Amino acid sequence: MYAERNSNKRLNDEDIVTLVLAGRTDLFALLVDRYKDRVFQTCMGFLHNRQEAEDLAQEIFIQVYVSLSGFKRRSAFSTWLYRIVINAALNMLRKKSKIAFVDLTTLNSSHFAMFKNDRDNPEQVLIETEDNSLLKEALDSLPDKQRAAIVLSYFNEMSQKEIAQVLDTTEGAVESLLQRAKKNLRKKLGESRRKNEQ
Amino acid sequence: MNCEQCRKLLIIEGLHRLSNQQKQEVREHIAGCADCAEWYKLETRLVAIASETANLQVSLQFVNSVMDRVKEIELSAGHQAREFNFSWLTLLRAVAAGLLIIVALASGIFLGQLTRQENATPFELSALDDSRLETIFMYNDN
Ligand SMILES: [Zn+2]
Repeated sequence: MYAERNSNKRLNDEDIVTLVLAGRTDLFALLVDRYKDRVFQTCMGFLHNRQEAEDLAQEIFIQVYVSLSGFKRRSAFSTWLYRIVINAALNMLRKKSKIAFVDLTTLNSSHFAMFKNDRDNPEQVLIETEDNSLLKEALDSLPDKQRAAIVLSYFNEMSQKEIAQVLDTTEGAVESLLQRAKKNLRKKLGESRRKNEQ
Repeated sequence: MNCEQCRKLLIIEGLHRLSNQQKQEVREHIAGCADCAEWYKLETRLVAIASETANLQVSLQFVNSVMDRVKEIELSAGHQAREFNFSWLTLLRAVAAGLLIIVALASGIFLGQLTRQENATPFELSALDDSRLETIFMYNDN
């Protein structure tokens, strides 16, 4: 049993998919275990809320399981998985923006609570947390692809080549997405700062 | 390092991808360049919010929760498959029963026709005879 578990761990993603589709559904747990934290971190990049990100990550794995037979092996399993992650996260954000009764003050205070750290200077912590909060709001206002490029680059530390594969575009297009995203972020942060100063 | 080189590193590559040597060169440049310093600040903040989540992990029961739902899906798929087979079986039974009824009806009609044909000749003949007789009798009356 232990030996089987160990040899299973050595299976690559695509082999696991083949076995799961052939009826070894229990082996799907290996894929979940392999990608759970990375998928969760990507969801955090979009949602900034631990519980929501974990719920979404769970839904994503169920979606992956249900559509596993649709994985045609034209790309690596991880690329296919991240495509599902990005689509699911963007869909979730669209749904959330439709029910946008979001009280921004509540959102900000929950952010403060979540990312509170225990450094010594409370004033510095507050400024940094507020800064981060504004940056997250600016991130949330980016167009879908720019936002996805930033999340994959910073939260998943993907190379531009990997991002291009997930977003099904060229490396040049990813460079351009990152460039435009950062220009937009600087613009939005400048606007927020000016509003706060008024 | 000039502004163009500095921005290329910060905007296109990103601070998190730079080598220590490149970071040092960028720091030296931004010490005297306010605009590139703003790009650097944005980079440090992006890296900071990403690092907040870098060590976060899902809860311990995550894999089990997903696999419980996978099992539920499998069970319901199996159940649906059984229902599907059952409905095919029912359909087959219905078709067989229908065919039997059709055969029974068809043979009933066929047998009925045969019986009618067997009875028809003497009856019609006798009727003909009677009418003929009647005619004869009529003429006789006259
Ligand atoms: Zn400069």
